[in-house]
Amino acid sequence: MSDAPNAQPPKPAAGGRAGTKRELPERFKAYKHVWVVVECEHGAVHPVSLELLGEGRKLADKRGVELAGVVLSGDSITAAQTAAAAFEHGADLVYTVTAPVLAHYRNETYTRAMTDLVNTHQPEILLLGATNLGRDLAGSVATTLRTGLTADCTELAIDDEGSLAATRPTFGGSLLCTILTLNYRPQMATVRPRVMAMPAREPGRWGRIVEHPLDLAEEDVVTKVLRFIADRESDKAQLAYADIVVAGGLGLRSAENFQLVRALAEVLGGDYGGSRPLVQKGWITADRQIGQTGKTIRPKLYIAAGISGAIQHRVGVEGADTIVAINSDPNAPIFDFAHLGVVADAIELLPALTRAFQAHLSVNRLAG
Amino acid sequence: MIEEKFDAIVVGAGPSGNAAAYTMAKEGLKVLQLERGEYPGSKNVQGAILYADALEKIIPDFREDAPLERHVIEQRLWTMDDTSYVGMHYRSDDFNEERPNRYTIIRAQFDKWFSGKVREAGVVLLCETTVTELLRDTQGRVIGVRTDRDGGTAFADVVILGEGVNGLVGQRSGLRPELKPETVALAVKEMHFLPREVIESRFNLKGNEGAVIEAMGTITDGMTGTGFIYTNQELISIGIGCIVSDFAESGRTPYGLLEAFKRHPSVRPLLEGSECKEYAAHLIPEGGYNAMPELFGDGWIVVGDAGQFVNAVHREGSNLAMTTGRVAGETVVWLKRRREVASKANLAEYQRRLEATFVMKDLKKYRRIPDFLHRNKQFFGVYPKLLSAAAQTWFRVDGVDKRAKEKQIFQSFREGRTLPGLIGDALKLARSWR
Amino acid sequence: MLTMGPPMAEDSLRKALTYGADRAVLLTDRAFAGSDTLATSFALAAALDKVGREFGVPPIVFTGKQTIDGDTAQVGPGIAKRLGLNQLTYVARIADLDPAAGTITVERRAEGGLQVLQTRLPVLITMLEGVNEIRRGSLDDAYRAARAQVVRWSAADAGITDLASCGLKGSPTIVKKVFAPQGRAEPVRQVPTIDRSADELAADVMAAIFQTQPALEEDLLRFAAGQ
Repeated sequence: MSDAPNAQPPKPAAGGRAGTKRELPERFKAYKHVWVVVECEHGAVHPVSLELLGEGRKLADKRGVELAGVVLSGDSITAAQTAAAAFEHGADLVYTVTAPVLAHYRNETYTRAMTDLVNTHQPEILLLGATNLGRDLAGSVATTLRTGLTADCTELAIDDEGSLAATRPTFGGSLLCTILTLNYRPQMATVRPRVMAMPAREPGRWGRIVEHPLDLAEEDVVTKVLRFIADRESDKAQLAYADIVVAGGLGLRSAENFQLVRALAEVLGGDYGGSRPLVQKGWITADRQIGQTGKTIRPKLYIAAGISGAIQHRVGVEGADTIVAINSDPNAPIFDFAHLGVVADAIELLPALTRAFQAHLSVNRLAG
Repeated sequence: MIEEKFDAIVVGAGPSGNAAAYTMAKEGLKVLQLERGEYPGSKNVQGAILYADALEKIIPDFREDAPLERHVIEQRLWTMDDTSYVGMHYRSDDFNEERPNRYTIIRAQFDKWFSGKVREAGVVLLCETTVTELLRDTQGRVIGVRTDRDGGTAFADVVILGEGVNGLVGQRSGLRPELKPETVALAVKEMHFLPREVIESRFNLKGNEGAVIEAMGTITDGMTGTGFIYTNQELISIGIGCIVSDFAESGRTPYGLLEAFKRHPSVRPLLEGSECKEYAAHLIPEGGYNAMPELFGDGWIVVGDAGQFVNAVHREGSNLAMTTGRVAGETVVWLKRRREVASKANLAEYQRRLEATFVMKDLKKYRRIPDFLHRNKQFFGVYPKLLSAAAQTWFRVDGVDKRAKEKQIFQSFREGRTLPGLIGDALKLARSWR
Repeated sequence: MLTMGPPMAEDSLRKALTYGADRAVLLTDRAFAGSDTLATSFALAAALDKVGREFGVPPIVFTGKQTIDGDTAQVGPGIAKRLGLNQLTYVARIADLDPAAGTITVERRAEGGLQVLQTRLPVLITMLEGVNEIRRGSLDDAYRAARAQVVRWSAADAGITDLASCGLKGSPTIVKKVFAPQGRAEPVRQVPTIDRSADELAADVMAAIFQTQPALEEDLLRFAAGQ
């Protein structure tokens, strides 16, 4: 594939398009409101959608517009339940498209329903979770509508001119960039699970439901879902939702030393992971990767051992309550965002920490 | 299918292999080059100084498009103790010449460029292809190689081994012994990113001028080794290396040494605010002339690091690599022109030609040095400390008269190393240097 | 194989040829500089169209899941949309291919499980990484790759006349600013390490963690007690 589109060198601000905002074309002037696609495959609302409603609420308030949830589903019960969850998490209204062809996600049907809905009700901002469903749908909706899409954002804001300013890591995760979609609507962005905080649920909060028809019969759909093979519970990595995470980086120096990370995680009852180079080296599997291209985590305690802390990693862990960084290089960037720092060799400190916690926990358990 | 036959197979796409392949292909020979790395240079680590002379003899106009960083106008030699260094700096505007003598380079970029030239010259380069063994005929003559790919044999009149320091083909084939830990240095290096203006102001440079620091002393914690700092355009490369057997004895780690080197009060300000972009480790053959294996045989020639062609005293390696590669290539071309076979007797021409170059002359001159430095660790610990203390005594103005200071300095040397020790060291050093 | 990129992308294509591909095309033109995903998919779709005319229409187009940098995962779907190909993303396995019937069945990674999908050719598939074994080319493949001519197309070669849809001009998104992240307002609290053994240091670190988050200690003790 071509070079990453959003990794292009910064376009010059002076004289370039960034500096000369043109008037929004007439046909887009009516586009208003902030939309969030609320995923409800298999009847369950995806948490990332609720996180996005929390973020969308702030954007809508800043713009002085409404926040709408978009619910595409196969049956009216799922639609109603999902709409209720959307209202409780900040939506003012919910658009529902309910049709049997939407029971399972298919690019063809969802893209059709989504573009139809956008063309009819014209949102200025459209947000989706960066799940397999969200990414797939966002890509083809954006191409169909010929508008801009910014993937895997870590921050969303409204700039002084009222545009969506979507910030994401770039240049291999060493810098951040803010991307605008100036002359096209809607402005689309995806955000990965756990990047935004979950908003507080307001039980009983309610809003308007706008139903939108979909004129599409199963026999007109080319792609068929033959069946669904659900993952076994045990196969799902729980890393993103773990309260305590211990992770290792290249500072561990060898695959064998990764065992030290697992040992500490086990004593703490937490989960473990690693930085991207470890996946590339084959020391850990891809589902254990923490960072921009891996999992984003928001644990109470995050211990990073021998991880330098490039932005690509940073954005994946910044939501942790307490970040403890162990690195022998006192200038490692991880010390710029860790709460507690230890300039030490992780290979020596990890086993000592495992012993310390083990002793502390067993002593106090006996005492208690 | 019928196996292809080449005039020569070159194992390795580093400086020595590239020089050999290029030299032969330019003269119309059919050359196959095999590289085990993902791309040429992917396995290469070097302090990254390019010596123009050696490359000029292969590609005279290399300056036109080679990725060069800075030309070196200042050389600093530091002997360091824990808080200070005593330095000898040489800087000259004469080095700002039309065809500069030394450049800093980034190996990944340079090797890619060099390999591009090699391919343009007509060499068939196969990457990610590891040579597993040499093929021999019934008389034991090398006639080709076996690779790790399916259907992986290739035949040629001669095989040139430029496979690097721990190239296994030559070792497995019994062409040379395994490396001895006391003749190999392990060096680690980091590339630190800094804006160009910052590098230029810290090192007193302008434009594409560059500076090089070579350092020895307590930074190696009593082991035989040196450190270096090179300026690239937007990177500072800093590294340190010691003899492998010394690491084994001391229990120190290379990264530990590098961390300490970076924290040294004379070094830290040079790196302040930089971001480490890359980390690499590499073995350097430092046994010199006495550790040199057989350089040729029936159907094969050894070039570059694989032949221990490194001048450890002057920190030169890639120029020896390129020169041995070029001379090997020229020898093969010469034999081809005369329609002679690559027998052991005929390939002796390679060694004869090498003897006439700086390569063999320098290595012979310093043949006693590696062993000498290995046995005389005082040059890495005691002397730098004495030198530093002497300089401090001399330069500190504290009411003590100069004659007393002189006495104090002589006294410290006598106590530190005893009079016979001092004289012995001087004699030994002089003898080894000769 | 088709890629869009600067001239040096040829090295990657050549490497890919050693894995067994028959032909490589590099789409390279200054007009493509600054392309975002939409402009990239425009250019690649146009080039694929030309590939179809020149070398035969491919029944299956594979793209990567996403670049490791841009992460938009939008170029593949964008190409499919523009060329009217049926789109199968995040494919973990191709279960069945029936060229005669013109159908393909795949397992697609979805939230919480695998979808088994069947659709009609031609399709565009974005494949998950790590699900296929890398085929290592033979020595003959390697020779062929080393000697192959990589086809180079400029925008004009690929039959692209609408330059307003390419590069910077064809990109609806613009990069407003690129910046280094700010450090935390509150600086990191360093645990002193001088003259501390590993075990002493570990005790200090543990104490510091519990001091920062007292509730965590209780949680841990509860967890330990429950074991």
